Amino acid sequence: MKKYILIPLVAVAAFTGCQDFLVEDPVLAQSNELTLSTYEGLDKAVAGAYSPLASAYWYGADFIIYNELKTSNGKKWIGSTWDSGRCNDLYNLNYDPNNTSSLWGYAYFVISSVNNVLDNLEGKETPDVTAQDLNNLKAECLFLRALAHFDLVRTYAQPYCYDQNGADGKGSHLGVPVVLKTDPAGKPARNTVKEVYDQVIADLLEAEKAIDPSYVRAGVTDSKAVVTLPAIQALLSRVYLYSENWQGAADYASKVINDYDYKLWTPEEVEDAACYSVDVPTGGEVIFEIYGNKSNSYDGYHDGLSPMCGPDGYGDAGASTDLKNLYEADDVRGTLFQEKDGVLWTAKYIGKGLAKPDLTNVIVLRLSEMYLNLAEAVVRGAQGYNAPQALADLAAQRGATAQNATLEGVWLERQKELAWEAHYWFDLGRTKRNMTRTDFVGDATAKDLAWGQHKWAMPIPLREIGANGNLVQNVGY
Amino acid sequence: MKKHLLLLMTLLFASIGLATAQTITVTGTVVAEKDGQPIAGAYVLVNGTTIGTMTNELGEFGIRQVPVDAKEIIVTFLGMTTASAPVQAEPVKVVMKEDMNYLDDVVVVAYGSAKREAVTGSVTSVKGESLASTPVTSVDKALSGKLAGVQVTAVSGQPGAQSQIRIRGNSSINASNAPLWVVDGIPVIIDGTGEMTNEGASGGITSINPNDIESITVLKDAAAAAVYGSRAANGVILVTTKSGKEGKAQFDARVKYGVSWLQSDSGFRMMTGSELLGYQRDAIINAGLDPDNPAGSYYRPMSLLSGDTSSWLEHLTRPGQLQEYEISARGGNAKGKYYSSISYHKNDGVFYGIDYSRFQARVNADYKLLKNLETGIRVNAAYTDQNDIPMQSLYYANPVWAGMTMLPWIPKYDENGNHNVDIPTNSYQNPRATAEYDDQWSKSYKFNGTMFLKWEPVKNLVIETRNSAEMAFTQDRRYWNPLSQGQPSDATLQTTKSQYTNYTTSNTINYANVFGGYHSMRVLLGQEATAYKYEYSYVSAPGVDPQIPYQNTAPQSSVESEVGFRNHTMMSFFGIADYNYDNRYFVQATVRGDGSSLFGAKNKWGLFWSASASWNISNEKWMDSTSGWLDLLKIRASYGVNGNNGIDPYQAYGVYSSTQYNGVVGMLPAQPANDYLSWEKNKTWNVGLDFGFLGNRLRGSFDVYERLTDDMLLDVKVPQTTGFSTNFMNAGSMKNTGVEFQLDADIIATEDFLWTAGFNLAHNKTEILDLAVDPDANGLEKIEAGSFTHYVVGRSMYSFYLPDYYGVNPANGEALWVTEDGSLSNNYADARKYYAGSPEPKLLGGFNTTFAWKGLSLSAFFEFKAGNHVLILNEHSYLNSDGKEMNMNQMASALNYWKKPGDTGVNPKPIAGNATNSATALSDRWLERGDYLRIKDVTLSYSLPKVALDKIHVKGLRFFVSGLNLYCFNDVNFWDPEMGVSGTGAGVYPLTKSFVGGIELSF
Repeated sequence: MKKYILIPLVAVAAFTGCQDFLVEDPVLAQSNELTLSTYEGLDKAVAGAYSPLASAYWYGADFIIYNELKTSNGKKWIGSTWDSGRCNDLYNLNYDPNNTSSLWGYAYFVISSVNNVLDNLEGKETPDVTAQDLNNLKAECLFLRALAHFDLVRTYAQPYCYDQNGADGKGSHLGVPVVLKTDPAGKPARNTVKEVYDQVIADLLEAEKAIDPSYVRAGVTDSKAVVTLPAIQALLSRVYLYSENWQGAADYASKVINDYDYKLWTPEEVEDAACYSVDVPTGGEVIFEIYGNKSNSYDGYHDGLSPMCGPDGYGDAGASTDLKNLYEADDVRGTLFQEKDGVLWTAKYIGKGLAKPDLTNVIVLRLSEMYLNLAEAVVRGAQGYNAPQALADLAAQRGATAQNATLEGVWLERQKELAWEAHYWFDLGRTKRNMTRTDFVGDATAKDLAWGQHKWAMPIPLREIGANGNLVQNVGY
Repeated sequence: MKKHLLLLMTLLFASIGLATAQTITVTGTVVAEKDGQPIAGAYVLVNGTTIGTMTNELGEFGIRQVPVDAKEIIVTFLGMTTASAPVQAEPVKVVMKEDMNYLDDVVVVAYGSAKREAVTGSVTSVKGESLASTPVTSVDKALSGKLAGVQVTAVSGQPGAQSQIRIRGNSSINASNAPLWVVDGIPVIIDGTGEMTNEGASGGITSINPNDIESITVLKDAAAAAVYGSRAANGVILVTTKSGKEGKAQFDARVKYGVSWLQSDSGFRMMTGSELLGYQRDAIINAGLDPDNPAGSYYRPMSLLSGDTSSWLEHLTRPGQLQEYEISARGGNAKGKYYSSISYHKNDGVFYGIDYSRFQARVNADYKLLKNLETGIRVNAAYTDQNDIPMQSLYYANPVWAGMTMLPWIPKYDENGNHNVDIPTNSYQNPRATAEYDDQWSKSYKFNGTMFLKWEPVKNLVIETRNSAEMAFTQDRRYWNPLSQGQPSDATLQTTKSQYTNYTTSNTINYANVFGGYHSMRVLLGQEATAYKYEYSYVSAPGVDPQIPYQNTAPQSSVESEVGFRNHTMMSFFGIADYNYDNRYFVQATVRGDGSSLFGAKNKWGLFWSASASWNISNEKWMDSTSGWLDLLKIRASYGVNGNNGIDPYQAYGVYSSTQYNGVVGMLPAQPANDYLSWEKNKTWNVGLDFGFLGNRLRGSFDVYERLTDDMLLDVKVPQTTGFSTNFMNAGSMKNTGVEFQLDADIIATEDFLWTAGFNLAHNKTEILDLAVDPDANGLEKIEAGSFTHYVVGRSMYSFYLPDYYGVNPANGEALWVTEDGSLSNNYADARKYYAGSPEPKLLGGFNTTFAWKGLSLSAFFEFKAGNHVLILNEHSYLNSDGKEMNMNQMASALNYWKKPGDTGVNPKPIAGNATNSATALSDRWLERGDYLRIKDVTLSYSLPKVALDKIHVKGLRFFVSGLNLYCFNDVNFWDPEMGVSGTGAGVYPLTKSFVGGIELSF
């Protein structure tokens, strides 16, 4: 009979073993712990963190299209064959907290992904993994975090120089929350614009220190779509320009221009527009871009940049004659348009001819901008560089007359060179200029926008205000 | 209660009490009347004292120091009527009679059984015979309308389809609302295997033969169910299968045959060819076009009627057939008992290509190894084979849908006599061709085996271990044959294999005893562990060779495959304590701790409990005067907390999943960690009353309850600054309140004539209390679950949110809509949207009656629901399209349309190619009251009298014929008013009518 005593024993044994018994790990996904506990996992987490940049809500389409359609560079050809109803609200500056840019969720997703990595880098050296390997991951993370915060603060806040409603013109007004650590319960309030810029600059400076100057992420198809030392420095130049640190903007622009093998595109290279979709094989201007391919997990498909900016897709994101009319007769940039049935589009996203709908790389940072950053910074007071020379060098490669080294001259050259690359709207804002349109077919009230108006900052999404009581909505919404 | 406390004290001191008075010793034996065998363990008490003892194994007892003035001794034993004998010096022999009411009155409850009068929770049960009398395919259907508060809703009439069961309403939005099924003491899996047939996954319940069931008990409130802890929130259904009986082997053989057909009882039908042509020609003329112009957009000459215009629906349907063959054996001796059965069931649907068959075998055996050691097994194995054709939605090959929509003048066959597939208006599909050439089938192998060992080391202490394995393996295949397509197309194959195993061990120690004749108590301690593993694999192979339609012949670059897993485990410890004083006052407490792999690391363990009490007023001494007519009057009250763990696994884990970018595979966070993810809690109170009058010929119960779901799981919006948009969290709450009433009566009960009737009625109201969202601009807190189904705080579980259709404009026949300010508009976009109704019934119930005269018996069973709405939006927007769908047949009621100024209460004026949205799906035009009364079952049977049986040397012979779902009184303009719990079942197989006849032979 003794053997039946076993029964309660089984129960006791089961109890002691039940802590393990009650664990069933997911089989087809990888736990946070596992992902973040080894160099290999961290490396993959960094590779993955780039992925949302290609989303149609960010560089994959909206970030470019929205910011161009809000200016005289863009035109919604209402009533044409290419009017699917998309983008009307943006063209008419008709945004509200229920209908605003979706960048918020994607940018903070990237920030949270890289924060997870940054929090777990310490002590992961092994005989095969050097401190420099870890530092390279750190630099990639810091760059992505800086870029995400920078795009957020440009989208959802007034420019750095905003000086109305009590702002001091030096970024004392509301920016976006600076998130440096993933906190599932976190409800961060908005930092000031200056605090955001300070963090962006701090991240970039630290990334510059950390990265191996020759580091390029292994295994990637497009080596210009990953973080490198010149990419960090180029972004620093732009961020300094936006935050009115003229010397910093010029210093870093100069480094990028002089320290690397980038070369301004020749007029021949620009002429067929292909260099914008895929950079030329040697030299080239592209410092950092977003890689476009159907195999990307984030692929805009029919809502991607190529089908939206051309006659073969929805084609809602047209270009305006205001822009086309800026170019002199011999300016090769005047050819960078597609035209069909009287409708104009930019040719910068004609695509790679890979698939239908077609795909394009999207340039974030390129050499021409460095020339323009340098020229503007010098005009505004930076020392030690030659602005007229920079403007002349650029104009020479475009078949255009060099602009005078004045603010107006630099700004005009900047619009012509960087049109449809998500610069003009922000350039207007940071230089206190009004937005005016001539070739405009939208709501009359939205034709022009005086500088300082509330529409220069997009509203924070309503769902976010609802989920986080610490957020204050922008003035005017 | 003080008095009873005193009594307890007295009891404690009784053994040391000093007997000073004159005493005698009483001895004797206790035997059973039936077989004269001694009864061990009967309690013998000297009436009027606290002196008593138990009989030994030989039925003997002896009580010393009995006061000489004592008059009688009283003997009690479970299952026997109380007996008495005089106090005398000579040995007495006490003969105990079996309590005939007792067996009827024992119900299976959680981890044991109890006398009905001892139950403190809300429990209803139904006996196997009453289930088996209806020729249903599966157990779930048999419950429909039989038990108060148990809502069984048919979603589909397809053979093999499972029903949706809700006990006391819906309690959850994101977790399960289905009850826990426990078969022979072991919880079974309900969401099983199978991915590709219309009915999807089916679990272990469908493999059980309804005729193998001895009884079903439904545990409704917390007190009854809480010992099942984290799985008990939606109630528990306990199924007990038949076990062997001592005695000579008895064989029961049963043969059934039946036919079924499709029929609407509300007058719903499609237009005939000439009706449709008239309608379409009017619509074309209304559009300003000419129906006789061959070059026009719509060419509908009268000559269309010259060919065959017979009904497509008739062409696609056939008489359904049901056949069932079964034999069972039951017998045993003092040591061993067995019950075994084997059955074959086949049901051919009313649509071509649809059938369901099941082979099933069961062995239930019990064996006494030693006097105090018993073992047994319960084993069920089944193979099911289901063939169907796609019917999940409004699909061209769906015979219900195509049968309703295909134009009557389209030829059924081509010139070669093959099924016509050159039908552009039906996407080149013909369901008859689909049925013939395409595959969509599911084959399942299911096994469920339980073994138990019961040991009573000392008197009244039972240690039991029960161990079970449940397994299922299912193979599914879908194949699109180019022959079934009217246009050149690839042969495409999809297959899945899915399987699960579920191992359970359940171990209990039970101690039960009666002290001092009045104090009954039971304590049960238990432990359980369950491990469930589920796995599936899927292969899609487009472009296979039609001659060899298997994945090997597909271009390998196009073959896609996928696997999936769902594993979870659970560990539990639990206890039950019962006490009753003199069968008058009952209290029970249960507690259970469940640890589950489904939940967050910080919340793996949950504690569930209940407390309940009842007072059996009819057993009070002062009620003696009523004992002539009142048999039972009992009030019950309970409160408890139980849980709902019905969620998918792995949701508590923070995980990364792979992402592709720039030619490399990276990892991105996919799901936030939720260490605190926990079960939903159901807090339930229940107050009830049980009664029985006139020798229990009139008996019933009444219950009032409230069931509060707390920590309801919701996808809560979180700030995106966390990196995520939502997190699955315990955040909401919901409430169900209701009343239930059940009444059964033996109206006439004589030797030859019996008339019984039963009635049950329930009302339940679900109210959402908290959704963890902020109020919108209108002050509503809501989650939009779909374009028209909203969850709204303060409303029922589902609320239909619909544009307000007014009717036609009598002047011109246009559809009119009610706008926000109450005015009317002919523009759909101006229509106001409002909460138009809910699919939750306000009342549901059933009643049954049986007349029996000698061997002849007629029984009828009715079922009803009232106060609910159904929304037949998808179907009606196409079938009553006001001319929009010129390539589809229309329903006959669409003929009632506006023809001349002044017409009201009709459909809008049909216009060919109608672009006005008048018949758009999202509209309360398609909302109807869902009330119905269904004649679920009428059965006439005849059992041969004993005299005749003896002549042919058989024990029983019964002939029966049943009409199932004979008629359904309802006004729903469709096949059947039952549209599932959500009230909007789309394109599914309607419930059918059937006649089944059969013979049962016992020998």
